[in-house]
Amino acid sequence: MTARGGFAFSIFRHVVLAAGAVVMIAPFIWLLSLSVKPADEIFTTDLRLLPLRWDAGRNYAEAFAKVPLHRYLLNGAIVTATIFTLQVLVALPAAYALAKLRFGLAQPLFALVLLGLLIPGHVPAIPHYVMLSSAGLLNSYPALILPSVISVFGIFWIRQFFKTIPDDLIHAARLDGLSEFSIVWRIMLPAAAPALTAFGILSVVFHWNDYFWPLLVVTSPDMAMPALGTVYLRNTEAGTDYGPLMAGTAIITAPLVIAFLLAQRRFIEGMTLTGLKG
Amino acid sequence: MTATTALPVAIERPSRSTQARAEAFAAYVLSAPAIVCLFGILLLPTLATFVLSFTDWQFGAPTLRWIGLDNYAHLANDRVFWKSLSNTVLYVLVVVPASVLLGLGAALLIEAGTSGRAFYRAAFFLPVTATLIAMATVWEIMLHPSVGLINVLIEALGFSKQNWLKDPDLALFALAGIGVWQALGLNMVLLLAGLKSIPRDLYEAAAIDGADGPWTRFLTVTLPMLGPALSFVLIISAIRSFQVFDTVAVLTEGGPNKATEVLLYTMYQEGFGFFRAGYGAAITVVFLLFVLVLTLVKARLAEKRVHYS
Amino acid sequence: MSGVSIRGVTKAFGQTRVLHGVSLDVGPREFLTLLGPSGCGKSTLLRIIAGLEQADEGSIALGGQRVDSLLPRQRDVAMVFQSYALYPYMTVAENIGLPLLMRRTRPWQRLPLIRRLHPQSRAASGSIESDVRRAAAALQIESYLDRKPAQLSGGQRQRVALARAMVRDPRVFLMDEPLSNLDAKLRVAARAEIADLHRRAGVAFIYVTHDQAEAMTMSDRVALMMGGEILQIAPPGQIYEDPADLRVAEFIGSPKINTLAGVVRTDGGIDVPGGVLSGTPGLSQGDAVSVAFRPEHLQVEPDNGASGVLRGIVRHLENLGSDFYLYIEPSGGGERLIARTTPDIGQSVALGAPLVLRPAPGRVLLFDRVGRRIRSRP
Repeated sequence: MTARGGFAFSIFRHVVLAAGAVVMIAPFIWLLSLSVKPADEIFTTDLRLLPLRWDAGRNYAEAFAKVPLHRYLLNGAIVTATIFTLQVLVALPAAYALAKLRFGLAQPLFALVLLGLLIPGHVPAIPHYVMLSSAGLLNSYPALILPSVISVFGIFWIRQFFKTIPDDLIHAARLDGLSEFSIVWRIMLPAAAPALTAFGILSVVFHWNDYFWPLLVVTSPDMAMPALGTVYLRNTEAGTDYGPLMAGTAIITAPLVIAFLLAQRRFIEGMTLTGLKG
Repeated sequence: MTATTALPVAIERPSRSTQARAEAFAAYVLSAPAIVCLFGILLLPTLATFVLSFTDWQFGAPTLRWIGLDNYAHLANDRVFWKSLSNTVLYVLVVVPASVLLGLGAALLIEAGTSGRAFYRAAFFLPVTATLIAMATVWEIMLHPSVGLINVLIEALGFSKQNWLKDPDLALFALAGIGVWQALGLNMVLLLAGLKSIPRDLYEAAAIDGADGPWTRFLTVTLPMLGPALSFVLIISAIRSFQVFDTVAVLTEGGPNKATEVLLYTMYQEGFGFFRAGYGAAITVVFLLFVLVLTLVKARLAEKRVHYS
Repeated sequence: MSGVSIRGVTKAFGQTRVLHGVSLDVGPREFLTLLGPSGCGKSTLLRIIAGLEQADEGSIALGGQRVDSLLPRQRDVAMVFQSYALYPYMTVAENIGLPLLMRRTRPWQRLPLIRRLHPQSRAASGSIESDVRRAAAALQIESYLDRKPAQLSGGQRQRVALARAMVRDPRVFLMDEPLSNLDAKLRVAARAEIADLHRRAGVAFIYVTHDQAEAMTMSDRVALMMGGEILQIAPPGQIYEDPADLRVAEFIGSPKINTLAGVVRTDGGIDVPGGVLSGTPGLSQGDAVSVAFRPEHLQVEPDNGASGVLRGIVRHLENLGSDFYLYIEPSGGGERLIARTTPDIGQSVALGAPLVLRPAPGRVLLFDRVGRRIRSRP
């Protein structure tokens, strides 16, 4: 539907959407507002957006002092980047084999991939925990990374994408002397860039925000991921010092929010894949 | 001039070609890491969960015993489990319609005009990308019984303040509200894509046939064409909201009085809080079965969409 | 024997047989076209020669050497695909240079850092660069070397594909309908370029197309394929004037050749609907034959009432400027016959005019009941 209905409708539309937008964004605005207020302005029924007295310095400094905020962000960056890289290294070659090569295991393997898509991530959690525990790997990067290395959704998604790449491109590469291995990394990887971008965003956002798994395997603050880090922050602020709590929360939330605002279209594209992923 | 040569034709059957063999070999090598990880990280551990659910193992115990369906029998008699399951279903029944309807409304309004589309889209989608745990903390403060933003506003409107997270009758709905807030943007974006794919000339044909008012257009063209996308969004919403965990774990811990106890949280409590791995595994299996049914419905819907598009 | 040698190649996809024991020899410097309608197996045959598909039976030899067990890259053939198959994320220079890179360097020499540092790989990239320039210059695409394929037009991409094939100095060039994605005008220019390329390269070209104009203008010989078999291999002129099969006669030539169903008479003439035509010696009375003659060999006169001749009524006129075509409904019924004439004469003919039709005697082609050509015995 293109613009229609005239001026009155346009006003109506903007009023309703703006009201909705306010409700959607309110928590973020309020987060920032609380993070710069001193305690007495937080615990008041007097609603103000901007504080009468700025306490941002103290709040933010306190937040950093109580918990290793920078570690949370660093862990988030390292773990999500590593997970995504490993996921691609495992999934891309397999997706190529399933999409373009003829071999006996192709059908059964794809059936297993589809089967894997039916299994929610929480189901293997207990055995994963046991395996990591007996290997003495709890509370470490491997514990955070290894269970996520296989992404059946990644294999599925990239395979579907590869299917749209013309076979002639691969024939030409074979004639030019490329081995199958070279074809995967020289030809298919660059060609898969759009699919990988969307998948990458899905993967990074999901693992950055994940609370469940880090909750299970992390026991010391300096190994925490962003979501878990927020909870540690909460626990040290047990009670009423909401200012630093909000400051710390703002710091933890900032990276993804900023990234989203900078690359909205890509984020939305990537996140809509959660629809397919289930 | 004939098509064959004068020399006798030697018909041979060549052995399986080098190219085919090279392809198959490469395929096995390329998919080997995926196969290993698939079994080692996904399939076998899932199987282990099943097997574990038939034992009485506890974390750290040196031995385990096969107890057959005892865990499941215990579950059937476990009041907490049933409360948890019904809470989860209730949560889904609140979040899904609300977030899909609101998402649909937002999508329709955004698509109905040309100005501000990018801004509104970003505003509605922002909660989807943000870390839920972090934002839940903000919501908690906003829902504070005396000084929280929500209560102050409510009082200004003439209603009385509520203790949202501590009132057994309200807590689940408060969490559902946060759930809707978080899910709405995703549903909106998926429905926007569905709206954009409706061919313009259908509306023009409808106009020629006399279906010109906004409500009529919606009923005769938009809604039917959006049908597949809507069902898809509904089922995805259901699958995601069924897996609610973060807000419960951080804001209410299942309380007050199990009012917000949900399935995944119960699994976490039993498995990792009380270390009853076998029992926790049984809950996981029940969880899997529910999600499986929903996912199969989704897969069937997705197939139908592909065939019709 | 050098060149390309194909013997008894059979191929089926599932239950469908695509090639039925095809045999063919291509000379080491010959331009041979595989011509035929879609589905006749010509592209499959080409891919079997390249090694991209495997024949169920039969053998392929290149330069006298059996290549059945060789991988595509070991066969020293270059191929230009209908879609050009250019690597989208590489520049034109990188596209053209890739086959050389694969041949002249070892895999470990291609790793990012080593590529720049190791003297041997640097020497290789130098020689690759000059060869790429040379190929690009020959096809006049030097100014595009830094662009990506998406930034080029169809004709430019086609030349990049040609350059990539050329730069390898192969002993056989394979081309799979390389002109079908170009518009008509570009196609004519491209035909000349490919013919030029063939002369310069001096190696065998095997060219697949369904367009008979391409086949006729570029080839040394044309191999007409239908239903997985080669019906005739001959130089273009011969295939036009001396077709071995009715299907060949009908496929080649535009507009299509005129055909009439006939029965041989006792006096050696042929009964066709509406008239009698003269036959040739050697036919038996009662034989069913097909009589065919090209539009340019059908002479027409105003109907003067003579008996025993073929006659018809003009139903449609086409003035192409250089030629004039008359579409004539024969009095005996059946498909319309087409006569080619000059505009001067054509313009004097009215729609609905009755005509007498005289196929030029020495130009009538006869085919037996299964479509095989009946050649006149001297």
